[in-house]
Amino acid sequence: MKKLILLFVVLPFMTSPLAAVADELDTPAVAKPGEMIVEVNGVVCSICAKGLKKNLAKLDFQSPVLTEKSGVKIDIRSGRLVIHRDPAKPIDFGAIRTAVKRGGYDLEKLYLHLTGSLEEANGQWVLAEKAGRHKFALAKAPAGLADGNAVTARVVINAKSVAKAKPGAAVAVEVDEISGTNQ
Amino acid sequence: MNRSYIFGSLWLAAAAGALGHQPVMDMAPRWAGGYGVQLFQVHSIADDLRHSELTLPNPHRLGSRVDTTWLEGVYTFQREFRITAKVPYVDKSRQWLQDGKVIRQDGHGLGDIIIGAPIKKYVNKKGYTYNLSLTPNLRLPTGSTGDDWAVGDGSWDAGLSLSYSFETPKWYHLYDLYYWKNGSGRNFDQGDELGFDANIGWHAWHDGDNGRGLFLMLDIAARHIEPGKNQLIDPAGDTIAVGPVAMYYHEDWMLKFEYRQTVYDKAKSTRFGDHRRFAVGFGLTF
Repeated sequence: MKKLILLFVVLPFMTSPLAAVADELDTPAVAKPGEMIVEVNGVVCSICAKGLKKNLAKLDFQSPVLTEKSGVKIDIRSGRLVIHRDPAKPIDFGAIRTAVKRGGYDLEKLYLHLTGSLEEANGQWVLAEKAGRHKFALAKAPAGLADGNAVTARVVINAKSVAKAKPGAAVAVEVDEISGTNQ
Repeated sequence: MNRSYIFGSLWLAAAAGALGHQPVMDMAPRWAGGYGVQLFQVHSIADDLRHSELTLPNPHRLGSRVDTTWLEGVYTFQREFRITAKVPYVDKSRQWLQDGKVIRQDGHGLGDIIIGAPIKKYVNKKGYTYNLSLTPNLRLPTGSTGDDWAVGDGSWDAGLSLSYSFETPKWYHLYDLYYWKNGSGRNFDQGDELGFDANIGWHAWHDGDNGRGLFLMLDIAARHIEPGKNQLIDPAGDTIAVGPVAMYYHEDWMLKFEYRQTVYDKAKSTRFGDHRRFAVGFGLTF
């Protein structure tokens, strides 16, 4: 009997290091226009993520046409799911957190592709989305760009910023890439 | 006829419904409001005689066969708490020696239903997830006690299992330590059982676009069974069985094949040995 208990204690520790070399795909996420990439911790198999996919597919700020055509794609190596956003509809950040939590996982980050214009007030830079109702607060001044410039940007919103997001208030983002566009 | 000779070992039926494994395929559903069903067909045979660590001569070709069909269900209230039910239908037969003569005993019917309530603590990290689970179980005396080889013993049994599961996109481990406290049966008492199950697996193939994949695993099952009372064949002793498992999944459904063979067997008293177990299961999640 003691040997059985010992086996239970020892075996997981002996074999877990083999698995702990997690082969996560550590490449940056690149959101395309119209896409929102949802990065989730713990997603390692697609069958376990079925509920998560189902919940995300129900979010009402999605493009129904693109969602029906492509569905919610999942990459288990990176823990990323791609949903198709309708920029004219407001993003419900609370609904995203709930969808992930009820799906059995924890939200890590969101990646977005944005089109809009820069606004600067009192040293705080904000990207106001063209079609949507959202404003995104940039961590620092974008190099080479000025107030009023039309821009496209790829941004990252971490889980803490998603949790703090309030309707009407700018959401804090980190910028992966930002460039001016001709309008 | 002495009832102790009519009723006997339920070891194989108990082993088929190992406490450690929960529907669906120990993997799903972890989402709130999710539910699933699983059908498992288990075929177990034993045709050696063991006493202590010795294989005895078996000139009369004594042996046993147990076929159990398990219908299992799960409902997940939230990822930390779910409820499971396992309903067995048993069909079994064995040949044994009694008063110098070979006797054949059969049993079939609804077995003892098992209700479980897994409580889980998940930790989700980038690239891996693990969880600890505590599962209290109750085995109900729903099995018939009337056949030559009774399907049930008429007792209420309580069990507790502690399990740990660790997964990455490439690897899957599940370890479960459990204990069954067997209540007093109608005509005989089954000994208490301590068990350890391990599934050490490789996510061999995954097609993310179509939600398909294949797991290949090594299954290890160790058992320590205490002596019971008034059993024709007492399953008491220590065993270790190992074998391969293959689990294919596609979106909502899973198909599993298992084979297990006893590799270590120490019997307290003369009983069957060299157990071989084949199982196939199909599961659906919603």
